[in-house]
Amino acid sequence: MAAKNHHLQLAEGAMRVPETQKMGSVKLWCEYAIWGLLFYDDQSPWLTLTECLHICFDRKRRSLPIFEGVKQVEGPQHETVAYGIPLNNQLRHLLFRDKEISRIASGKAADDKAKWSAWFATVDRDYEGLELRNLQASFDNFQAMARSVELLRTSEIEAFTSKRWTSRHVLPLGSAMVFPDVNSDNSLDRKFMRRTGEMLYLMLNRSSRAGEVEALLDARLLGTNSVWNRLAGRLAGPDSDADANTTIGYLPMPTHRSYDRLADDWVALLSLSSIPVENVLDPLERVSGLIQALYILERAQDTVGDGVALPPFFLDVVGATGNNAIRKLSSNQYKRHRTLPFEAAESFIDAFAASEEWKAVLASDAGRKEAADLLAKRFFWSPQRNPNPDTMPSPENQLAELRADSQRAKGHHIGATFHNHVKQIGLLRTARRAGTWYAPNDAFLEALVLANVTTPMEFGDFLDLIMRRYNIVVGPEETRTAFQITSGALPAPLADLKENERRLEERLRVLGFVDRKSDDCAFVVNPFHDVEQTAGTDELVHA
Amino acid sequence: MTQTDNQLVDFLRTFGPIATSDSLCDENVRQAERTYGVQGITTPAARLDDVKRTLLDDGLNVILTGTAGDGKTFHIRQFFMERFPGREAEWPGEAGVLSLELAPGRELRIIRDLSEISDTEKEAELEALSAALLGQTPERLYLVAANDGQLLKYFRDAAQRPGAAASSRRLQQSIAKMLREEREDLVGLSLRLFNLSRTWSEKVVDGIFDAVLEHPGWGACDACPSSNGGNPCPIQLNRALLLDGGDAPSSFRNRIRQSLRLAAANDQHVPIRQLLVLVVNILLGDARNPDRPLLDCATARKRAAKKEYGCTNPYNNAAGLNLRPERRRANRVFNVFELLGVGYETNNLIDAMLVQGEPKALHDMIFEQEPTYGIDLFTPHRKTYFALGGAETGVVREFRSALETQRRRAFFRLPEKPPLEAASPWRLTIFQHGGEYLDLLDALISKKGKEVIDPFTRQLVRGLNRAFSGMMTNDEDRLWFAGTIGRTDDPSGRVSTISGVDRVTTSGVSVRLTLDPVTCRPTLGIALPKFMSGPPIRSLELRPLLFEYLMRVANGSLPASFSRQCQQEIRHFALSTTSSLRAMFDEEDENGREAVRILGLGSNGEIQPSVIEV
Repeated sequence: MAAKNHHLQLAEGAMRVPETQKMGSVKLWCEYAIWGLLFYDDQSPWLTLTECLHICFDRKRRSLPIFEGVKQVEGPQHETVAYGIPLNNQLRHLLFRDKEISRIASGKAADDKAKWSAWFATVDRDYEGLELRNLQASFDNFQAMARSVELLRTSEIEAFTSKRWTSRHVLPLGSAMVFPDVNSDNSLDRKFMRRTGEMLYLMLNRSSRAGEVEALLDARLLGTNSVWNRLAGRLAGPDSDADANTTIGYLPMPTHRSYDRLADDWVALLSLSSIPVENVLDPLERVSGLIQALYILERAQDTVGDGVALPPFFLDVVGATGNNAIRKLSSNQYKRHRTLPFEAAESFIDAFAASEEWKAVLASDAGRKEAADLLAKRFFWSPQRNPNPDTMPSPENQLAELRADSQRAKGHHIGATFHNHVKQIGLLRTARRAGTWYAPNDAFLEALVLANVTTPMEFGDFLDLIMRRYNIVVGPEETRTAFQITSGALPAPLADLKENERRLEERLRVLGFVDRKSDDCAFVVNPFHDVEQTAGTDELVHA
Repeated sequence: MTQTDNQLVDFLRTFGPIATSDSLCDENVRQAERTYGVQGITTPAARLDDVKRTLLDDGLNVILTGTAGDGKTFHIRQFFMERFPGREAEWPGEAGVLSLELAPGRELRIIRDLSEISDTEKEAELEALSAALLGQTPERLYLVAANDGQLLKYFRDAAQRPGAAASSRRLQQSIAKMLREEREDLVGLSLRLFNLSRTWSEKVVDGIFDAVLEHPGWGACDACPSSNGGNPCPIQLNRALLLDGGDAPSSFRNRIRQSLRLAAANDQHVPIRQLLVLVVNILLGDARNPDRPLLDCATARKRAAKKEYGCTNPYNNAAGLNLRPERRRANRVFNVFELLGVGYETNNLIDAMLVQGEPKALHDMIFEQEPTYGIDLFTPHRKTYFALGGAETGVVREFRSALETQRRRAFFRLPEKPPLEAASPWRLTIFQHGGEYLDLLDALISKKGKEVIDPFTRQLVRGLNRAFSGMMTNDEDRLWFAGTIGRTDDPSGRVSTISGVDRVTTSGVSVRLTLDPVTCRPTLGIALPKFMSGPPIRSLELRPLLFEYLMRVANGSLPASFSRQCQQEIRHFALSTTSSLRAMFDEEDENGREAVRILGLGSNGEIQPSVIEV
C-alpha cells in the first residue's frame, strides 16, 4: 500500500498519522484529525477503561514497559503499538452463555459424577465441538466449579445490558479476566470496544506522570495475581492463549493539558491503598470518562481558537422539577457544549480553505479535478460521482459538500460520544419532556471525592478545586469565576445558587464524605485516604 | 408595673428567644443588670484557667473558636479583667486590636473578634500573627477570638494571595487540621486552639440551670398573692418542675441534660447562651400570642386566674412551641428536641396508656403527680374526643395535639428504666436506643462495666453482619465483612475475601468497643492481638444515628430502610478494614492458595462460609 496516511490534513500541532493506521472505515477525515481515531459513542466509559487495560495487560505479559512515551525523531512520532487479547472463550462461555450449571448444581443428583456427566451431556447437545471436560480435573467437585462460576458472574460490568455473549465483560482484575470484543467467528469486529480505550492508553502514555501511573498500575493490578484472577484462570481453557491482534488508533496531539489531568487522577485513585482495587475501578472509569469528555470540549475549543473560556459544566444539584433557573442554566451549558464540536469541524475546514494549496486549486483551470484529488488526499473524502471532471461540481461546491458532510449529526459522531459518555459516567441526566441537563449521580460524586481529596479539605476549597480541574461549577462563588462575571448579575439567582451548593454538601454528607464542624465550617473527607498519611502531615509544619 | 411584680422575671425575659436578644452579647447583659437592678447571672468561663495557663505559664498563643454565644468574648473579658485590674475603662476600646504588656518585654495583642476588624486591620495583623503562631516571635503573643469559618477564611485568603509565603499555606493546613480533628495543639505551632463549642459538659448545663432557678431574686415572689393560696403561678410551677426535689432529682431536668448530651454526640452543639434561652423559655414561655412569647408577672397572674395552663406548658416550651417557626429555628437549642421527634414518635403501649388508661400502673406512674399539666389538661380533651369521636375534624385535630403534648410530657417524666421496656422515654423519640447509647458512653468513660459493654458489642456485630450481608443472621460472635466484587449500587453482598473477625479472642484480631479520646464517642474497631503491631486500622465512629441504625438492624429492621448515610459509612468502614487486614495478613497458605468465601446461613442463623480455594 502506498504511503497514503502521510498526506492527511492535520490539526495544528498534530502528529503525522502512522502508515500502520488502518483507514478502511474512514469516509471523512475531519473529526478524527481534531480528536483522534476514535472516540466511539457506543463504547461506554467502562469498556473504555477495559480496553485500555487490555493493552496494559498485554504489555505486562510480554514484559514490555507499559508506557514508553512519545518517541522524538525530528519531532514527536506517533506510537505504533500492536497488542493482542486472549480470546478466552471457555471462560466467557461459562460466564455468559451457559444456562445449565446453576440448574444442575442445585438439582437433585446427589452424586458428583452424575452432575458432571449431566452437564457435559448438555454441552455436547447445545454446543457442538465445545470441549469442557478439562474442568473436571481443576475442581474438587462440580459444586465448587459451579460456585466459582456463580461468583465470577457477579463481577460482570454493565450486567444490565443485553449484549451478545462475546461482548460481555467482567471487571478487568487480571489478565485472565479480559476478553476481546469479537463476533461469533472470533474476528475482532469491535462492536462495543472500538479504540476509545486505546485513546485513553495514548493519553496516559503521553502524560508527564506516565511513570508513576505505570508503577501504581503494576503494584495494584498488573503485577498482582488476585484471587479473582486465579479463579478466572482456573476456569479458563486451553484456548486462552489464542490472541486477537490489532494495532492502536490515532491521537493527534503529542501533549495536551488533559493528559496530565488524567494521569493525576489515576495516580490519586490508584494510590488509595485502603480500598480494594476492584472498588477503585468504578471511580477510575468515571473520572477517565470525565477527562475524555473534557478533552473533547477542550480540543474543540483549541480548534476554534477564539480564546473564549470553556463553558463550564454547571450542575443542577437541587433537582427541582419544572422550568427553574438552575436546571435551565445547566441545560443551556449542555446545549452550548453540543454545538462546540460542530464549530470545531467548521474551523478545521476553514483552515484548509485558507491554505495556499487550496487557493492554487481555486485558481487553476483544472480546478474541479484537482479539488476532487486534493480533498481525497487530505480528507479521505471521495463521494461517489462521475469520474468525468467536466460533470464535477466546482471546487467551492465540493468543499461546501464536504463541509455539509462534516456537520452531519447522524450515526456515530463525536457529539454522540460526548453525550453518551457524560451520561454514562453519571454527570448528565436526560428525562422525557424535561430535557437534558447536568445532574450528578452518587457514584459520580464519589469518584470526584476519591480522586481529589486526600487530607480533609474545606468544602469551599473542594468546590474551587473541581472548578479548576474539571470546569465543574455548583455554587455562587465558582459561578462568578467560571462565567467570568466581574460586574452585573449572575446567570442564576444568588439564593438558588446557594441552595444548589447547600444541596451538594447534603448529598456528599449522605454519602459519608462531609464532616461539618459548625455552621461555618465543613470538611470534605476521603475515607480511603491512608490513616497513616493523615497522621504524617504533622511534618508539614516543620518543613 | 405593680408592686408585686418580680424584677427578676423582667430581667430573665431579656435572655429569652426574642428578637432583641439575638445580639445579646456580653456588654448588653451588663447593661440589663443595671436596668433591672438584680444580680447578674454568672455563667462559667470554662476554659479561663486554660487560657491563663497557656498565655502566662506556657507562653503560647491562644485562639478561641466556637459559634456565636459560646462565650468567646466573655472569656477574653474575664482574662483582661483578672490580669489587668483597674483598667476596665479600656474595655472594649475603640480599636479592633488591643495591645497590652503581658509581662516585661512581652506584648499581648488581643483581637476580640476577628470578624469585627476591618480588612486593613486584618491585613496589617497577618504577618505578625503568622509569625507568632509559627513561634518566631516569643516576645509577642496573641489572644484571638473567631469562629472557625472566619478563622479558616482568614488564613486561606492569606495563603491564596499572589506571592504568599509557603508558611501561609502551612498555617492554613495546620489550622484546618486542628479544627477538623478537634485538636488543641499541633507540633510546630506555638498555639492552643480552644473550641468553646466543644466544652459542653453536664456541669455547665447544671451551672446555668442553677444560676437561673436558684437566683436569690426569686425571694421577691414570696410577697406575691399567688404564692399564698389560689391557683399556682405558672412561672413558679414551671420552676418547681425543673428544681430538684428533696430526695428526687427533677426528671424533667435530667431528660433535658441527656437530650443535650445526645445532641452533642450528634455534633449538634448548643452554645451556652442558648442554654439560657432554653431555661428562660421553659419558665416563661407562653403560647397564647406568638408576638409576646414570654410571660411577665401580670400575664402569669392572668393565666393562673383563668387556669389557662395550656398556654404555659413547660414541656411544650422546652420544644419552643410557643414561638413562631422561624424564631424557633433561629434558636438552635429547640432543634435538639425537634430532631428527637419528641411528641411525634410513639408506640402502641404509650398511646394506649394515654388514650385508654391501660395499663393502669403505667398510667398512674404518669398521671398521679403534677396534675396541672397532666390530668387536668388532658382529661377534657379525652372526654370530648370520646363523646364526639372522629365525627368532627376539629375535635380530632385538637385531640391529636393534646396527645402530642402528653407524649412530650411523658418523655420528660418517665423514669429512665421503667418496668416495661416499651415505656422507656427514648421510645418516644427517633433515637429509641438513645438511653442505651448514653449507658454505653458512661460505661466506656468509667472504663468499667464490661458487663454493660459486651451486650452492646454483640448487638452491634449482629447489626453489622446483617447490614453487610443482607441476611437475617443472628451471628454475633464473628464479624463478617461481606460485600460484592467491586462497587455496586447495592452494597450488601455475600462475598468475603477475609475470614470473619472474632468478637472475642486473644490469638487473633478481635472486635473492640472503645472511647475515641478526641470526639468522646464510642468507636467500634478491630484490635490486634498483643503480640502484633501494625499500621492503624480505621475504626467506625458511632454517632447516635449510626448506633441507632445498627441497633435497629440488629433487632430486625431492614438495613436499607433507615439511613443511606449510615449504610455508606459502614461500607467505607468495611472496605478500608478489609484492605488493611488483607495487607496485614497474608491470606495465602503454604501452597500459595488463597480462599474466597461465599457466605450463607447455618441452621442457627450463624454465618457459614463456603470456601473456594484458589
